[in-house]
Amino acid sequence: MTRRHSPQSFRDRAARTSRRTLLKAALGCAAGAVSSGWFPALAAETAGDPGRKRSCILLWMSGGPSQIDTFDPKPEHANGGGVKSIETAVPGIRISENLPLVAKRMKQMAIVRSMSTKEGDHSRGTYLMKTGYRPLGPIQYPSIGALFSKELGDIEADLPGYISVAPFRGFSAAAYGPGFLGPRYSPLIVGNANAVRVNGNIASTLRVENLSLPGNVDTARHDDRLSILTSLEDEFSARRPGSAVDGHRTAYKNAIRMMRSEAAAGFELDEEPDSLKEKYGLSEFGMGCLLARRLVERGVPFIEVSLNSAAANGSFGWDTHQNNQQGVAALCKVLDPAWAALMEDLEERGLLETTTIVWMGEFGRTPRLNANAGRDHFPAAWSAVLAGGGVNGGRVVGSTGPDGMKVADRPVTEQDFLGTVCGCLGIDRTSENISNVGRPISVIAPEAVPIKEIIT
Amino acid sequence: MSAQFIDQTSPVWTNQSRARDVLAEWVTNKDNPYFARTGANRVWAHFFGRGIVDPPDGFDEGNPPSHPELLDELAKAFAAHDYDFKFLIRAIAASNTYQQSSMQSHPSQSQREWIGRMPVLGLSPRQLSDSLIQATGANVTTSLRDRMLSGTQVDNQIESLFDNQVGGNVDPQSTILQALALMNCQFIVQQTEPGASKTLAAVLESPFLDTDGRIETLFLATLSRRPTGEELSRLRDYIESKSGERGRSADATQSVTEFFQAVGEELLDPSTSRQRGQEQALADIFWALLNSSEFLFNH
Repeated sequence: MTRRHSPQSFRDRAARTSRRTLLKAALGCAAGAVSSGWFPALAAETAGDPGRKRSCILLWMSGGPSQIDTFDPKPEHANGGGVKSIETAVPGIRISENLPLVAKRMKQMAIVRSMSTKEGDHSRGTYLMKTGYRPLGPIQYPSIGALFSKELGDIEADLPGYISVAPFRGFSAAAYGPGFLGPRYSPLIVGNANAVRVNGNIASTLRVENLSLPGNVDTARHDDRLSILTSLEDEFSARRPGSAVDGHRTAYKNAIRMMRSEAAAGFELDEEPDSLKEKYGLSEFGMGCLLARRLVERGVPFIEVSLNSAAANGSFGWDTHQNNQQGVAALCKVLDPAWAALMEDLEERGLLETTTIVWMGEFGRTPRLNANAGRDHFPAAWSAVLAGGGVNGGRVVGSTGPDGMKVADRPVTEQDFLGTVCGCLGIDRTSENISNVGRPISVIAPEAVPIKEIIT
Repeated sequence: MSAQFIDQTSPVWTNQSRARDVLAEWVTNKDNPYFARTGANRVWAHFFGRGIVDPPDGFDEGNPPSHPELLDELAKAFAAHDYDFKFLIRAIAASNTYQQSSMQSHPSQSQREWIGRMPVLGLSPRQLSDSLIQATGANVTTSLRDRMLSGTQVDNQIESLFDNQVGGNVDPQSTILQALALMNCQFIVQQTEPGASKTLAAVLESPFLDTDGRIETLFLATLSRRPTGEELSRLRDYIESKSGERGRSADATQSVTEFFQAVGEELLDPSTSRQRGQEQALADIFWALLNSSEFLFNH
């Protein structure tokens, strides 16, 4: 099932709402005065527009989250590790006691308990789940952030289509890259996993670096500089037609547009009331989820927020080889309020219907606890979750046996799952891009079998 | 299961053989049709941003070389010289093809795979770091330079931001974050600040330089060339417009009072607005040069 979008873009509506002056020349000489107060009107209009494009928020669980301690609890079995299950808003569906707030949103969520993939290494698993392909041969597969934002987004929008919040790229930088789509589809990275907290203020690390002009340069002086640059560029490029110089020019144009756009205020988390911030949780991940909501409001089609660590968690992220129970509980204390608040917040603003939330990591973890009370890498049978827009909620797809060691019903591959995400987002998964080897490659491989019952 | 090479032959094992030696011998054997070709192709791709087989990892029948005879010749010579990379690099660098200009003189040169002109290539992150340090004269001792290259001084940004994913360096489409860093990052801000930048300070403080000489020096420091006449006159005008000069020739419309006022200000404090304006204008030019394609690309 494919949903058709109206061709009308966020930009068109932005223009209709506020008639802002945009950069005039390629490198821009003047940005019009920005009228305040256009944003609330635009946001309301965006939410109400039936032709509104969809957004995707990927909650990325770096390290590989334990399915048994989250969405596929086994309280009756020794492999369950003593973690209890709790009721959710949907009778019959029980999840781990670690996620009490998320449990209340189950009507809008679909759990896939039968993920079955073939990469059990962090680097390869990350690449697999974030591109849909195993790292193999010369083809540089794009991250789904680049792919989906290309399908959903508007290349002329003020903000880039793929924004990655606090990514940990150490496992696989390519899993965060635009691959053969080229740097134009690179993620805009906000904060990074090694961010140092400034006076304990987490929000302040979630900023786009170098977005503001230095103190001694005002817009007029910046314009002066840009006009010198433009004349240098004109002379150089006139004699060297081709994309290298054009790419440079486009990047500067987009960077300047973002610097001067009101949409950049999307990054000002301080505009949000403290009470709301506390609801999300004062963690980098919580603030990342709040930022994701602000960016969805501004029409950004793909935002990923990584959960890489939690205080009192001894491991890297979800890589709980030791003391699994304790580590997962600490991570869930960060995840649970942030995710639940995100869904509630989006719903209150009428944005949940058009925003698909994806929860996953690179693989699951062994059902059997190891000698260090930890769980190791386990791609054979694990869980991933879809929520919100386009998702037929309140259901579980697939299952694992009583011990969790094998998929008992309906194995789902990475391609099947990502194909399902496409379905929820209304992306034509057969849409093709020319790869770096000159061969067209579809968004999702043709052999993928999306989970029909999840897609509305 | 016994080990097999990719050409389906099996190694001959003796008691002493170590697997790596056996593999190394097979790889570099003169009869091995793969190594010389892929090696030569990789070095070629490094210099032209595009392999004769491209992408260089994509050696298969569906992806034929653009210049098969050339690849054969390079491979043959590479093997004949015992896979000496220096030999291969010298040969490529001495070729007419490599020594072409990047300027287009005929529309047929727009077909990149025919290499009718030198492609405009991206710099590697390291080259870019080095170029920035050299052009700005950032105070570099060996250890500091190393620290800069490891990313602490140029603030990670230069190194990691410019580490573009997409293979060959042709088509180095910059990302937004790269553009933001080059415009606004702390390193660039400092180095385009008259008080903090060595190059800028030298240009401003050398008594033997007039305005034209200052512009020329900035061009030489960044682009290794002098400005064209047109560039020079445009930038000279820019500096003059910012330095509040009343023009070189007498301005007929200027009132006598204004003239004396201006002269008076300069006599009282010759280093005031006029000079500051000029310094700022030169800093602006330096900034634009550091952000230009001509500086940032290998062409």
